[in-house]
Amino acid sequence: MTTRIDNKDSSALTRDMNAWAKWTESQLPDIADTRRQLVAAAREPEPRERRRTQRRWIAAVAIALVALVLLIPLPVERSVGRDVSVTLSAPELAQDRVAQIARVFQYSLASNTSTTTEAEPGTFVITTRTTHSRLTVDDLTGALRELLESSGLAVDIQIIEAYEIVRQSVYAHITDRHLVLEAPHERSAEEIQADLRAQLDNAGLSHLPVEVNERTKGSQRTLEIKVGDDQARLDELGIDLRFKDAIMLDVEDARGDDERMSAEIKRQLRALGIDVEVEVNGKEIQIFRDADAAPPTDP
Amino acid sequence: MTDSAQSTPEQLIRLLEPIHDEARAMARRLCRSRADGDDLFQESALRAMRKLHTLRDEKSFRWWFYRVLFSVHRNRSRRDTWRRLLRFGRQDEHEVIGADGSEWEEERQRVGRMAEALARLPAVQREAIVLCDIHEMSVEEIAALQGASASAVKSRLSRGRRRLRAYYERIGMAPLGSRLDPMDVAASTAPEQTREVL
Repeated sequence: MTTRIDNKDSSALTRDMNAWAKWTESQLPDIADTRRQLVAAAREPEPRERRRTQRRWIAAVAIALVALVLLIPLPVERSVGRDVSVTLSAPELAQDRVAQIARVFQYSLASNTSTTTEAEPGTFVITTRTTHSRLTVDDLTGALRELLESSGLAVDIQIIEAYEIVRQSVYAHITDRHLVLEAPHERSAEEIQADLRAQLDNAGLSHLPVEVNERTKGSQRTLEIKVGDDQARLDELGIDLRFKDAIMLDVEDARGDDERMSAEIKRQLRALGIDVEVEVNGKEIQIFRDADAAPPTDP
Repeated sequence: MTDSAQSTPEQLIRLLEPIHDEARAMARRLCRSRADGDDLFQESALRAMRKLHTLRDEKSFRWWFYRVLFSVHRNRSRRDTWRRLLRFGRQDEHEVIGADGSEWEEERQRVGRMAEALARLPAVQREAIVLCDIHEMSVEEIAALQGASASAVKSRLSRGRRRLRAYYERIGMAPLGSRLDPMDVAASTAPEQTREVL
């Protein structure tokens, strides 16, 4: 091997270059070694292919992790409502009467089922689960207690938060932001507004304004509830507001028969202490607070 | 030349044999250590084997293989740059040359200095200097190998040498203003000024 140097120059740079040239060609592996390594390497995948394969694996694992987090249901403990139990006791308390109370109790708390058990002779326990807010449940059960105690029954009411392990994906947790706001109709607009404000604050939506206006036409009362400035903003936040009234009536059996439905609604409301006139016309149901306000039945 | 699926180590070895030692040494000279140079050569040989079907004329194998070698060298240089910047992997693990005896001390220092000086050059300047000053290639040959014009090669040589001199001056091996010009570009076209040292 040669290095090209100037004869007149014997600088360190030249000498070092010569030493470098000499050193780099000493102890060179022979061609047999090269062949051996090539044969071994030929059995391995090409480096670029290997990198591509690695990238594919990394991508697959990343996608699987995201899917795991977003789609696969994970158990989460959360409040699913309130268990309300009413213990009634009175001498010679008839089962029929308890069943009637249980029905009213169930309807007023808007629950689907209730169970009644006789703890001991003359003592019955009615239990049900409601999704109403604690505030509403307190109001409703308070009214029920007054009603029942005035009729001579000993009443004990217990309300317990119900927690359940819910299996839901993270994606569902993120998107499931239905906010159920309760606006009991019998309260004033100011009370409802304060109540809604508290519910929104509890849901972490303190920044959303709430406004409740009341309009009265004759005996007809209309509540106008506005939450948030802009529906688009609510959509953006993924918030679906749903309003629940405190009274739920079961008129499924009377569907299709206006007269029967009207009578059933009146009966159920009267059981709650609300005496009103009801007019059913197909899908339109009009409820009037007093009989005087009812429109003439004769056209 | 042949189908890529049929390229075998034997086919490459047959073509590589005449230039094997020269190519191996060249690979080492482009790297900071012999181990790195051997890795560079092996990676280049493997790539050459897989790309052998693109070789049209066996007579031009030598130049074709060097082009593959330079391509791999530049890829590795880029990778090493990022590694150095991001502080990945080994950075300053160099072979200790002649560490086994004091008689090699001077040799060790010379080789270490040159390895360090060449490692500081950009890949294309390092290639140009190694090809011109050690492998005695002409500017035109280097230009063909590097896929650049002759003037670009001259520029690379000139800048590379300036950097080498600057490095040597910085470490106190050559006083400023002294003539450290053993590898002038003109010398590459003047064979009468060269002598065989090995």
